[in-house]
Amino acid sequence: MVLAAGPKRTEPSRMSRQLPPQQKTPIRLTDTVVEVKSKFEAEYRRFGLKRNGSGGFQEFYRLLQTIHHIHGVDVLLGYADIHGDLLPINNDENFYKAVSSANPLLRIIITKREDEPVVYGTNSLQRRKKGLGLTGLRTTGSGTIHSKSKSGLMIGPPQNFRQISSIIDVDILPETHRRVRLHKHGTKKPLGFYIRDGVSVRVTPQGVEKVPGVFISRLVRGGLAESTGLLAVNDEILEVNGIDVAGKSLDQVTDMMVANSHNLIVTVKPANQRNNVVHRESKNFMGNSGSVGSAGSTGSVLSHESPSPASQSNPITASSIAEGDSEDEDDDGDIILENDCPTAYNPHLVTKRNSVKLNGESSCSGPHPSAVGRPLPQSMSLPSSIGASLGYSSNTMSGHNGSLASSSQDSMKDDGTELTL
Amino acid sequence: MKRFRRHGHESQRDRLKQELYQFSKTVEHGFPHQPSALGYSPSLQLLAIGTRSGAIKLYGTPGVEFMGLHDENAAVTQVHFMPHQADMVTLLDDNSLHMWTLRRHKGLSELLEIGRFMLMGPPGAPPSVTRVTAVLPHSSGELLLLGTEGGHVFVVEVPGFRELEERNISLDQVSNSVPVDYIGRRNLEHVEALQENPTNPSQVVIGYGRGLMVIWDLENQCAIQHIPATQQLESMWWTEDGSYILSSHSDGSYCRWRVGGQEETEEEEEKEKSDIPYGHFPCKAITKIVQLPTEEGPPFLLFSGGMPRASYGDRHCITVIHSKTHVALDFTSRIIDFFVIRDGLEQTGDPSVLLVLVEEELVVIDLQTEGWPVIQTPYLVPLHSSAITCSQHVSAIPLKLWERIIAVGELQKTHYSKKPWPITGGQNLGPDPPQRDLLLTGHEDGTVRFWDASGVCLYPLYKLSTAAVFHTDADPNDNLNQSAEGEWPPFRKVGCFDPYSDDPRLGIQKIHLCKYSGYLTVAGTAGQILVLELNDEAAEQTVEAKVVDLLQGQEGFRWKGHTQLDVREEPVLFPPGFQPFTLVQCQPPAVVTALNLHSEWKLVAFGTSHGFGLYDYQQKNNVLIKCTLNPSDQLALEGPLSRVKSIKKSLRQSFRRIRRSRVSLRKHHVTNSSKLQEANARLEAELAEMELAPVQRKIEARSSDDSFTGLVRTLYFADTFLSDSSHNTPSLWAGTNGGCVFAYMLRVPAVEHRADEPVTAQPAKEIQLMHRAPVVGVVVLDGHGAPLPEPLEVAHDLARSPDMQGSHHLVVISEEQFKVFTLPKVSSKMKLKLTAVDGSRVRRVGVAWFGSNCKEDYSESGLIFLTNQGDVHVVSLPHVKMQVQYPCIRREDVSGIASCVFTKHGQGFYLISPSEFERFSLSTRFVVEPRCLVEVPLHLDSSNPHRAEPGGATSAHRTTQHSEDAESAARCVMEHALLNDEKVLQEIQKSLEGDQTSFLENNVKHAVA
Repeated sequence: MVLAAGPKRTEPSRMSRQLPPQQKTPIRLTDTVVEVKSKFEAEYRRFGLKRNGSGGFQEFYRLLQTIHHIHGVDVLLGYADIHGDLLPINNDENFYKAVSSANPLLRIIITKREDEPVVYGTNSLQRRKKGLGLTGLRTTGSGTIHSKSKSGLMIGPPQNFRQISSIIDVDILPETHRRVRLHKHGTKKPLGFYIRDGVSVRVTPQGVEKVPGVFISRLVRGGLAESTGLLAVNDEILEVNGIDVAGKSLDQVTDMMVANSHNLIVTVKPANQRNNVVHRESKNFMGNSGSVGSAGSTGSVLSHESPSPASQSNPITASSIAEGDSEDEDDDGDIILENDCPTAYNPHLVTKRNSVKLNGESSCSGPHPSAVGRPLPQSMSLPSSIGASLGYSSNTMSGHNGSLASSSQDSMKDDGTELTL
Repeated sequence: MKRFRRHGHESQRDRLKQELYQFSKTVEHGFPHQPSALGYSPSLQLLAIGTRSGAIKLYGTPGVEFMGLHDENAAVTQVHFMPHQADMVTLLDDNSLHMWTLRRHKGLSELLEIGRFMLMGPPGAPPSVTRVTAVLPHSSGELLLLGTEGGHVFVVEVPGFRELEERNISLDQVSNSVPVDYIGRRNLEHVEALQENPTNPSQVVIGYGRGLMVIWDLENQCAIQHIPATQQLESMWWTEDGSYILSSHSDGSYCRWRVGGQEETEEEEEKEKSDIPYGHFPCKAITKIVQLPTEEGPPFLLFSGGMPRASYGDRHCITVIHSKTHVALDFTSRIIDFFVIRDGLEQTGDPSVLLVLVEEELVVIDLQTEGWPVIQTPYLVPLHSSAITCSQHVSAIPLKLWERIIAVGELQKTHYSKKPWPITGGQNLGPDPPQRDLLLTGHEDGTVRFWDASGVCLYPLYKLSTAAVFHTDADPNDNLNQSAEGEWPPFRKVGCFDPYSDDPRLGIQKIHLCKYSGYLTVAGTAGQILVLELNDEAAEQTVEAKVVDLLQGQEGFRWKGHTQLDVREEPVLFPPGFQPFTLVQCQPPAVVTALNLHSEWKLVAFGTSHGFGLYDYQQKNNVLIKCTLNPSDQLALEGPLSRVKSIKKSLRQSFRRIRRSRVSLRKHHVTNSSKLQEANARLEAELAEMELAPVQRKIEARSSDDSFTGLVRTLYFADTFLSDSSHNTPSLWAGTNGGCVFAYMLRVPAVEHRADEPVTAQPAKEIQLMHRAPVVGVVVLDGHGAPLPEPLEVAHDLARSPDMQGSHHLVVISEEQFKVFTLPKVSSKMKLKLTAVDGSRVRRVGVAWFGSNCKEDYSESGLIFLTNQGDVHVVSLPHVKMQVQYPCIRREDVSGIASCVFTKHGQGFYLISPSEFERFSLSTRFVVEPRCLVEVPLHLDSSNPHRAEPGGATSAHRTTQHSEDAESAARCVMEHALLNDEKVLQEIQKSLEGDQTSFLENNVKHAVA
């Protein structure tokens, strides 16, 4: 929809301000020049950029402000990478990455910082956690937190992206293990992996011992597991949501994973041990986070969550348990449809209401006479308190869990992959 | 501080748990799976059955049951009671002999294995030399004669299994004395049978496979007489007066031989009589022959087999001939063994009862009543006479209903003999059952059987057949027993095991009985739901069918499964008992997956994979139809036939699983020594196999598009607060496979208008569980947190009326978790996750009541459930906290897990084989288990343990006399203790058991030396 509106509103007079030479010969000059297509709100600009240009992020930022005539407006930059994922540009490094990966077109999306919405399911969680970590710095506007966290090296503002996976508990796990959290918030993407029985080799005082284990046997193309790049075929599964799977049958592990599918945390021993998270001894650097060697190239967003100091004293899967608990509330995302006043029943409405499917597209129209100030005769109660104030948009209805506290417009932008220029 | 207090609370709770819960498997009901041996002790009046899985079961008077299991996983091939003792010898497939005894412990008898023995041949001898083929417990009670495949007879002293080498009867000894003219003195082959002379305990007859029989004098160690039969020997019988030996042979003949080769009779033919009873054409072997005298008149002759090979070779028959009466009893499964019980205390009178153990049942025939009718067995009833498809347990049946069911059941048992049950050994010391419990089993042939499940014996009360309502392919008259006059052999069909179903659509899938009103509803495979009422009189009536379209106009569906059953239009005469008065047929005719009956509101709720409905059986009309089908769910639409592909796939997978489990089984056996390398090698082989055909599991969140999400798993009626917290209303709850719960508010007219005003149902709530796991149970808790009582329970003053003041709660049980919601506004209050934590899933669930065994007045309600891992758990209500967990069923035993039913008092039943229910108890207060005592009757011969040795004891034997004395002295001490102090007894027993083994070892050493 946004796409359709765009070209219509682009005035021809502004077109003249674009840089003509590069635009006309974009393909031939790909070696040296990158074709850039940038979008701010409903306006598009096309221009060329030297691939080996000396300018850094700040220069590029100013260039865009100039091109779009938005001087003084605080904006966020993002680009669509080859996978169609929306990734941020906010420092020199990811700017170069964006330029080098442009093939052939670099799509830039500019958003105003102040109207930055709370878009993604992960956000509310993230904020809650951070709020706890920063001793009750709970704010509804995300700006404060941002200004605080800006002091550190900002890898990317996760608020603009849906987090699909993360490596957690880096500090408490052995280096050979990796604890991966898969976020399946309302995506249509399948988790997309298979597990199998296998034999795991353990070193014991008696010598090398072989014990049964559970392994990843296959990753589905385009699935969540594959797109994270954090899981691979033949990785051994050690824990599911903090629970050791040793001695459990394949079917049991399957059932555990399916039961936790909305918030799956798997601890694996990767078959490829070369990309392990390396401990950084310097504690002042973003807590105890680690870095992943090459996994970033797959285009996923890795967030290294640092556990609160208190949890460090408790080495038993401290943060994952804590998260599991917090996630618990989200997991109560049962959808409950109630008829508030069946005594004053209007038979006509009854049939109509019956036709409303939980995930149906139709929304109830017409206020019910007896519903107190509420436009809809049926109340949808969602477990998190936000549910009560929710509108009836079809998107939120089909949403699985997590915060649906977005307006219906936002939820349309929700999925970064749907944005194309 | 808080933590400390909490700790104190925890330990208090732990103590309470111990008072409330206790797990034990108490008794096995039904018929043992794959019986392989039968034994009987006339002195103890006990029956013993050995099975192919190594179990040994003893039965006496109803309620007296013992069970033992051999450690070896080998089939029991022979069971012999030691004459006049409480000891028993079993022979297993692996050639090991075991001694069992009934020992008194704390006032009750226990079955214990007290010794085991493997026959040791001379070094270097082939294994056939010691392979035991025949066992004869000598009437002295101290000797065991073991005939072997090599043709030797070994003599072993019991209990203790000491080989008396010097008394062995070797093949050489025998063959030396065989007359030269006996078929060129060929190999005599194995020892087929051993029999003792009933009049002279020092004489035994040894029957060799080749046919030769030798009467051997044990005292003088010499042959007395040779009986040169020429046909392969099958069995022998020494008549009671000791003057004849009967032999039966593989060609279907039997012979009678005179015993006592006196000089004057030597010339005349010893072969008195030879006969092939079903002759002319080749016959099958007669495998066992018995002849018993009667006080006046001709003897009874009984033999098994001998049928003409070509025409009746597949029949399983026992022929009974008495005077002019000749009957070939025709059984429906293979004959394992049979014996005859005789009149009189010493069992020496006329034959009274024939007991036949066939593969699938025990048939008892009264030989003293005209027509030889069958006696109803009080236990060992084949549960699986038609395969069990479902079951329901109903606790605490009101006396009135109980008596009526018994009365209508009696009318069905008129063809049984009136003779009391002939096996009367032991005393049942168990208390009378505290209440009357019914177990209802639904069967594949459309019958529902009612069992008295109050006590140790699962006794059949009544059988209901639903087939009469429908037209079926089979004509009901053609399976009648119509033996044509003059038919030869004179067959008579006996036994009730009949696994052949006329029409699989008749199969019963769900049963619900209201114990207060006597209304019963059953639902079957072809979407049929019958409502029945108990009527003491026979009635002729037409059953009107009401077709319910559960698809509700959903288009584009093609049901490819079976068609619905055709209903008989004409009136049908129903015998006294439960008579159907209304029939609902679901369309499409898919199997009914959920059923509930509310007898107070006169409503029946039913569900299939397509939706659910509510039927008013008073006004005979539909109140509600709800289609739960997901339009994209093709599997549910098309019915079972379209799943051929997936069946193929699952078959392949299950074969792989079986193969793997075999490997792991083998692994299990060898773990005694930690051979790490060996285990590794095996694992490697397993891994190689897995790489060839890896078993994969897809990890995916459940979605609404999954198959069978609309399948209705549970239906529940509740009088609760659905709309507001001040008015409670009747309601119907339905849970689906897709994790959805539908609640409907019902309006049931007052009793006086019930017949004319319509019942209405309005949708009130829908809950879609986020985790989308199948909903297997819905329970509403009252203001006190107790589950709502059953309909009519309060009206009959049998339950406290529910607390309607406090707020009610809704408990939704899915396969993965337990969730408590508030009512009337549904919001999540508490939950217990199961699958996310340990990977197990709820398979069966029930509400149960647990009473403390310490405080009479303390009790709690809880949820008892069984997981797919085979563990039973108890979860407290209303706080859904895990209380206890016990392993109960092997996780591989899928059918056992699926068959489990719980009682309202914390017990449960599950099928351990197609024919047996295992009963278990989680409650400390309600435990039904056998408590019985068997006392060894005093017998003159066995009263003196120092009975004179039958002479001929060699010096080697005498040296062991001392140790034997020591042992018998110990035995005396033990017997003394047994009468006085149980604790002392226990100690002595322990030390004795230690001695026992060392004693055995000594014996072995002796034998080697």
